[in-house]
Amino acid sequence: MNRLLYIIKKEITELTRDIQTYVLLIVMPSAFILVMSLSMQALFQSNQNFTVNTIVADNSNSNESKRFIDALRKIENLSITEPATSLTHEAVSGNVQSGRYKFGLVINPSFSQYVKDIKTGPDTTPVTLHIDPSMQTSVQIGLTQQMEQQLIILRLNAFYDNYAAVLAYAGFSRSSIVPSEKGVIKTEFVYKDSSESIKPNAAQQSVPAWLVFSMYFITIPIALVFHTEKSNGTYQRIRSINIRSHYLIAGKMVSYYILSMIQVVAMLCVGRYVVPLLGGDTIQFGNSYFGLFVIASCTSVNAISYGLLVSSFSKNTQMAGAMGAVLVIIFAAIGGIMVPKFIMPKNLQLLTNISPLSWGMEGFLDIMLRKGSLIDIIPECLLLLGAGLLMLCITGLILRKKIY
Amino acid sequence: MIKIERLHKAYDDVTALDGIDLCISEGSITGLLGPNGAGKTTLVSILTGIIKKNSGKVTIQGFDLDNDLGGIQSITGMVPQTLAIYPLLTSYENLEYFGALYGLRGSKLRERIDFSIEVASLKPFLHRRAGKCSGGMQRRLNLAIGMLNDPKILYLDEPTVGVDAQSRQYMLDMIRSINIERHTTIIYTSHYITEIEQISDEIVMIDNGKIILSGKKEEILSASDTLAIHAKVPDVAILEQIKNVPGVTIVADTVYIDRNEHLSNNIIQAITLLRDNNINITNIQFSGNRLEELYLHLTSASLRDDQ
Repeated sequence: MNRLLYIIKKEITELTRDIQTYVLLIVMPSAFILVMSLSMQALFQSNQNFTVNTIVADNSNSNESKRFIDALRKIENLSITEPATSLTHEAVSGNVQSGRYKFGLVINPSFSQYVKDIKTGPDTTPVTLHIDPSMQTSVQIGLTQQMEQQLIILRLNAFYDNYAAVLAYAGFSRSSIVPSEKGVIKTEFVYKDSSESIKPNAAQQSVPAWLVFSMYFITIPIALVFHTEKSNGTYQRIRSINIRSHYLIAGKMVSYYILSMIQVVAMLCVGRYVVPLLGGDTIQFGNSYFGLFVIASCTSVNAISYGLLVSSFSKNTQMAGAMGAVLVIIFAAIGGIMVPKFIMPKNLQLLTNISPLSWGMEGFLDIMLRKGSLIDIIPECLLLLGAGLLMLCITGLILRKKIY
Repeated sequence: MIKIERLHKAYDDVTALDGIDLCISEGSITGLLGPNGAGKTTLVSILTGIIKKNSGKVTIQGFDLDNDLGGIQSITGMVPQTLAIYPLLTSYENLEYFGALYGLRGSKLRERIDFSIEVASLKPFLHRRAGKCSGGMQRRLNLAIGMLNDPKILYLDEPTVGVDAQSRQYMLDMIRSINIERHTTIIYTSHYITEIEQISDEIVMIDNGKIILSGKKEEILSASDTLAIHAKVPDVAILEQIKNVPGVTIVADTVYIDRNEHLSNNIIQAITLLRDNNINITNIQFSGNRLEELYLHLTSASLRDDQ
């Protein structure tokens, strides 16, 4: 066995006995992925069983308003109270403010006129919706649009009833004027593998991002071990034995790579098997297991290189831990891990291209979500490996120059 | 033999070693003494190849430091002041790991591990994790690792820090026996001056990056015979007058007078000055060749940590 193998053996032996590292790299990120996948489910899925309690004041008390309320009852996720006929705006608003209801719908007296008379202008307010500001914007928008759609359908039906004879004479049927409630827009998800067309779920979309984020936690144990070796004199002892720094770097690289791959497997298993047990959606690994292995390997190499660079650059464990963690959070933020890239300002979107976490995440998404193959992740892999190599070279230079 | 000529090292604008010249005899135990920040660790770090010198020439056992660091490191063992061991590995695994790094393999590796275990009395705790061993045990392991490659030169930097008197004596005996049996040259750094006095053949005192004294222990101690007069001198002006007497040094409440050929005259002058100024002499003693007194005498007794 040559020196490198002994160094690797020593690193692995130490890692196998360091319980705290397992907790930090496997248990905590797994719990994190579990919580994030389950909590993000509502955001990503439209057919979730969440309910928005809505108080309704029917101040129109007309056939039209009753039909409108009946239509609203059919909207998924909306729970309508028995309408009251004499509630003021203040009373409805007060009910929303108290937190008992998320929506407060007031059907104004002008509602019936608005529905029946197509000539009624936009200055009329047939319906007022009071909204709890704590409600998620996407849910607000989605439900409000569905309500508006019901109102439009109601109005078009009234229009058709008023002018049925004329429209029939002109060759228009009701169905050609009044849109159906559902199925007008057919949605299809685009995958690299064209044979696939399933709807992505919360876990599928969030696990790759949090997986990549967690992989960079490896900076912390690397920094701890590195600075312990520096402070307890083992590093000096090794230097006095004429062991070159690239042996030490290679030893750490191999052992932490193994640990990192165990971490990836553990977290993917959590996404696949544990999240469904707790009521979440399972994840698919995509069609290329080899591609998944390659992108996981490249991300690992990059994360470990980053850990080594931060460790060699920093003066002590505390500084390495703080610097490593804060930079990872910054790179995660600009890399689209925490906030989807498409909602970022354009200038910030350009910055995402410099984040290694973004490269890793896109690679995982290519394989797991877009059902891509090895060819699809080559650019990301080259970027991750190139940056990793650069960081390792800088680490080597620092170790050669620095005096401990 | 270790030969050092005009060795210079600076960290930014701080000079750590200022043109050191030194010869260390083969097979000797050399005690390296000096206050904190004197340059001892820098000197050892340069000799072991951990850091680079700025200028000067170093030759160790015929190997030139500039051109044959590998050769030097192959015959060198180092025991840092800190416990340079891996606490999660067992004592045996630590020895095996460092032995392998020294390039030892197979039966040679086992033989050297066995030797180190024997010498350092590690056997009862061999398969216990190093981090769970006692302080004395860890110190012995630290020392044993430094001997794995059967070094011709062994650097020991405060090897007995934090151990009890029994362990310390055991380690000193062990170091002495290694020196005698294997003819290993040992450079021993310690703040325990009694240890240096007990174990060293040669003594090197270093301060402010310069060697202020070096030579064989017996010669140094016999030449450093002093008479110590204990007296409280309250007046700075009187203090200056006494200091001007040839061969006199004052450290704290003690007036040291070199026992050279002018001893009688110097004693008379010093004592007369004290008596004329009504200063009470509390004690007079011949120092009896104590290294600690010489050390304080040469380096002055002031604290160095703040410098």
